[in-house]
Amino acid sequence: MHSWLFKLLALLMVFGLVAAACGNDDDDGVTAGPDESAPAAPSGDGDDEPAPAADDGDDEPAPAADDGDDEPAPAADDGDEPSASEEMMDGCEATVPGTKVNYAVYSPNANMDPTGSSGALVGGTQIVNVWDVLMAFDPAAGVSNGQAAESLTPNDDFTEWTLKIRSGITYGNGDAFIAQDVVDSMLRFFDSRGDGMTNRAAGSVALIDFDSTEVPDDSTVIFRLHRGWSTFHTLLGDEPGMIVNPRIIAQLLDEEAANATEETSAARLVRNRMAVTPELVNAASFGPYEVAEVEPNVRTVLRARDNYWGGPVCIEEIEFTWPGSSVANWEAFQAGDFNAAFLRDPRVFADAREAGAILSSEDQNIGGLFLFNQGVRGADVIGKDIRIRRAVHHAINRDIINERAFEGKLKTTNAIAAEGTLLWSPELQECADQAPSYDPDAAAALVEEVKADTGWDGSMLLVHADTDPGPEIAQAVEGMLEAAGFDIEVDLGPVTTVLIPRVIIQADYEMAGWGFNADGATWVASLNDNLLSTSGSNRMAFAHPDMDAALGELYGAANVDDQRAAIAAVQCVWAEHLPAMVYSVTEEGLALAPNIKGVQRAGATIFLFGNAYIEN
Amino acid sequence: MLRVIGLKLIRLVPVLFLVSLATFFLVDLIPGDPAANMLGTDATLEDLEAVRKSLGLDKPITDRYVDWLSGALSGDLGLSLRSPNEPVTDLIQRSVGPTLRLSAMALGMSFTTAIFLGVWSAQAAGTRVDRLVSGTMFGFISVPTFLAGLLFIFFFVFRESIPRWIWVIGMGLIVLRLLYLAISRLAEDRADLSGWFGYAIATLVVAGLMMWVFVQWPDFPRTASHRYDDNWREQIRSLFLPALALALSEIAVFTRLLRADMLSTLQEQFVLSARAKGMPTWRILFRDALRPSSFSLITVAGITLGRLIGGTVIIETIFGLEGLGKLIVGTGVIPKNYTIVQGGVLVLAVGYVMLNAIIDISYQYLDPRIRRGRV
Repeated sequence: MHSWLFKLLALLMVFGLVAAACGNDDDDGVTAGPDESAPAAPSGDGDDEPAPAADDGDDEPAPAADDGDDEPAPAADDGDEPSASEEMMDGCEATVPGTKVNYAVYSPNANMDPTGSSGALVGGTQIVNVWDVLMAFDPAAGVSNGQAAESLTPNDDFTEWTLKIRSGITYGNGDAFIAQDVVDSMLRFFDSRGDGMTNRAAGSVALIDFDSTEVPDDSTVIFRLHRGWSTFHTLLGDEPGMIVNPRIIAQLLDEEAANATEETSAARLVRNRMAVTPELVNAASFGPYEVAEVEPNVRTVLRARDNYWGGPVCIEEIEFTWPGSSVANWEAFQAGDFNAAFLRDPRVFADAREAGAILSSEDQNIGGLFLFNQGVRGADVIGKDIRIRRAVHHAINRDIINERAFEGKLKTTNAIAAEGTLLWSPELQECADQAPSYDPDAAAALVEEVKADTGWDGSMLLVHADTDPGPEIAQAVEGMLEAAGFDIEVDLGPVTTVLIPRVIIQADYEMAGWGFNADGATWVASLNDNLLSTSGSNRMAFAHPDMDAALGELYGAANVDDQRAAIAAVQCVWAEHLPAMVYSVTEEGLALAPNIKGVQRAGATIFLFGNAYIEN
Repeated sequence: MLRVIGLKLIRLVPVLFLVSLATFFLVDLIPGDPAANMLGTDATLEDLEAVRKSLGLDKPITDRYVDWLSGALSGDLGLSLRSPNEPVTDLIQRSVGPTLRLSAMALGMSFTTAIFLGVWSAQAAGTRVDRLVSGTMFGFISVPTFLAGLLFIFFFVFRESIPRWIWVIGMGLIVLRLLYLAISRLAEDRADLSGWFGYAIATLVVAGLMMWVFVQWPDFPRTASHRYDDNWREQIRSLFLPALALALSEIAVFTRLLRADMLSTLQEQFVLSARAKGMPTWRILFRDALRPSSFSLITVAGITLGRLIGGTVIIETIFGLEGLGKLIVGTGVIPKNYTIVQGGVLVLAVGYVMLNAIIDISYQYLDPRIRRGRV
């Protein structure tokens, strides 16, 4: 008995050790997350990605803005590579059945309606995969390629754009996609204003002169604009380029007309219905994915559409959930919970880049800045005095904000187009450097001067978002300004209930933490919305004819060189009149597992998965 | 009994009324304007006023309270102020499931761990084992839940080999101890099977468990944001860390409570009698002494479940779980979506009060001494 017991124990120990050594503790492998031991390492510029299927046709007309000699050719035009459809088919065959993408979003979205979305940060990628877009913007080249549209061709002065849509596309309910739908769908953006919906594209859509826009046949739309706009094509890669079947909308509006009230329009009721009814969205869309499940503000599950016009959709499911913050996104991506994660926090971005996990990112210029109220709605505020704006520039050290709030990982800049971004130029930087730089003594002297001249007591209200690291930013700025003689009152609060009401609705602020977020797709719209003297979205009441003239030049800039020159001109006016103080550029983008291929940019930093696949 | 139940239910009415009153008025103290939350960035002052009017925010607060309470009594908790303006009842129904699962799992972990540790500690009162357990429990109580969550993420997700080897070493020590006992008993008297065979079996079981857990060690997710409605195994995996973080302090409380009750029970005459009869220790502990010692534990566990359901917000936020706590704070308090705050807190309060009432009633039913005392 004695020896038997010891033999049994020894056997058990040996068995256990062998099992421990050989055991595989992997789970069922439904998701293809990054391996912790071998972090994702796609190239930062995405050159190794196969070209999207929709871009391979040799018969495609040149993209609208692709006429400059200095533009790089689109990657998809490389004739030595195997065709994109071939690669995609191979990818589909290689994709493990049942594969899905678990996508960590920056912020959950409430609505699948393009008129109710707010770009990349709130629902952009979810909705683009359901609705598709007319044109897909390629930020590296600064051009747009045809997606649901075959071509988009401008006239010489960019006041007239001819759009040709693809034939044979049908919506989920079987209706054919026709040219008139483009116009009808865009007109819906006007209903969204002041109706509880926000969409940054609405102001840009208003530049289309719909009264003279023509639909000569079922495949052609001729847009006529109120003014020449050389980058109009970027608009069609954003929400206005996502076409909602207008016949379904008309039917829903009829149904909701009886339920509409003075405060809640039928259009809003329709959007609310679409937000919680996947069947409606699926019937009215023709993108690569359908909505399978939706919980507004929590998660969205998309499932591949069987009859996608662009060919087979390889990845069967995409689940969008919100771990809670950029930091949580990155940690969860590292842990393998997600194989795609949207990142925006500079502190996280540096780590992700070091790990080689960024597929596609873009610097959002003017991502960090302080607005000055310069008399919105006739208010008598101290920010009207340029000496105060100059004093703030002298008082604030961007590096201190960086150290205190961003662990030194923020890309600080004094320029509206940061060095390294497409539209930066030495001329622009020269102008940016003419703005007042950090000089606390000069700041204190200016503050004293204004106090002596006007009787102002030095008080100033700073409104800032309380989301991380907002409090640290506000605290750092408060300290620097008070050292210069300001008496700062800080109002921290949530963006939706404090910052936006204070700045936009009530205009009850003197200085506010803000961001214009101008990237390759949104430069023109962003600067014009915020700085043009006649813009309804000018939150500062800044108005100067020189700025208006410079912005006009930006609209008409025909190629990248012209755009650089125009932006530099805007920068020169900015440095002279100081409408706001820029302190950083904000990088945002997608961390993607290395085995996910073929993800394509649509517009801004939103991503199409229609041609994506997961390598086995 | 019915009279007692009726009286208890009647006493709930003023409590719930006060809760509804406090909830409604406290929400008004949160800074910010709920109307602005509905409007977005294109709104004007006129829009703001119109929405405030449509929400009834221009009415006196007492009128608003009466309107809300009458709706709540008929099961209508209003609409969320955030697009797409879903009914609050639907939102609560959707988020209560994950919270209930998390709370139940935390309670289950606390309960089972505390029973073993509490009984063991009581049996070994005054020894090094007892001091070790007591010290560890004080340590558990001292760790705030949010810190436990962050530490678990660090160790179980990003340094998973550390807890894995801690498990092996800890269990290995137990195995060695059991093995030593088995061998020493065997050396004393080979013929007495009852002396060493039990230890040998226990050694095998513990060693097997140690190896099985080591081999099967799962990859714990950083977040619990995925839903696994049809896969219980994945549900357990994704909820394990948040549940453990919640359970930590409860384990300590339950263990201390059970130890104290067990110590008292072990001095009872019937236990001494059982010992005198030569009954096995495990039988005395788990069959005779545990049951009469567990009334306090059951009562506190019930109350704890109610508290956990309402108190998981921090853990839900850290682990990205879309539960009731996150709904109330993230979707309700922060954007001043006051219909969600009011509805959510009311549901929690009703649930908590009802749970306590049920425990109170069942306690009287289960314990004859209380019943007789009342009669």
